[in-house]
Amino acid sequence: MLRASLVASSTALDLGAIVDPSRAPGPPGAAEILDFTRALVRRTPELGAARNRLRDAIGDAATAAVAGSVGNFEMMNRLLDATGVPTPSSMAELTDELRAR
Amino acid sequence: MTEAFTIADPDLPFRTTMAAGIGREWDRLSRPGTWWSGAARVGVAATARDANAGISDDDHGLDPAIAGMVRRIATDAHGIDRADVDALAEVDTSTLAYVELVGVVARTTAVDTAVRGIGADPIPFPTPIEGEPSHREVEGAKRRSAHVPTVGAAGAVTALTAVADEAAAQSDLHGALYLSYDEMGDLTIVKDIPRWQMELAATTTSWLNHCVY
Repeated sequence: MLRASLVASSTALDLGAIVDPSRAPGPPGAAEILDFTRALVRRTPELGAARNRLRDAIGDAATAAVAGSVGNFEMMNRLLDATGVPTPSSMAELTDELRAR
Repeated sequence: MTEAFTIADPDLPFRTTMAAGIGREWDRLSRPGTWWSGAARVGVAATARDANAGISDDDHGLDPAIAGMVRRIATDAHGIDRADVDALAEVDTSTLAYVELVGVVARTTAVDTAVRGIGADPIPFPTPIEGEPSHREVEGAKRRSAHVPTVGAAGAVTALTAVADEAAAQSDLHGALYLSYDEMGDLTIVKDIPRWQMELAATTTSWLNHCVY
């Protein structure tokens, strides 16, 4: 859905930045979303600082929405893995690309 | 709603619909489910919260084998295979009861993550409500390609459909925290943030969790 939503909104983003923090993702706010998501999922002490940078970049309501999205996928990841739902073939391309990086 | 819940000392507020969705989840958590009592469901949630924080010294009233499986769902879900699920029969726990465990653990983790994301303290768990689980079975649920039975092909929306209330709870929280299933088809939707930003957070989370779905 990431690739499709980028295309639909004519947004150029370097997908490699998801797996390589040294790379600049491109669009405004994207680097801050990546840093915040990493800190939130990994429970690092940088979470507070990452949250503040994200608030400065995209605002309070938007930051809360990012927190909600991360929370939702913490749910979906556990749910899909624990129930053994297989990866659909339609997702294979992005999955392979991220694995390769 | 059985009791008010509070989000203590947040750095920033949730949108109203997100807070309401979390409130509904906490209400469901307190009540008897399909295969587990309200007390057991709260115990599952507490064990999952502990596990996600690296704590494993309290089974919160659960059988030790169940508490162990809850910890695996919380912290090592991708390492669970069909044999692990089948092995729960040794502690009189059916695959359908396992589906409910997965749902409670996954949603508790979702809420705790979102709340931590806004800089708030974890929400105290609700007081369990007395009563018996419904033991309601769903017609047409079969084990296909997944570890658990599903109604129709196994997928993100059908993963918990063998326990109807769990599938409904997943749908409700999914809509509150992120997008409703109907909204999923709109690639340019803006819900406080544009879709691509939601997906960037989603893809990064999945990458960090080694979830390849």
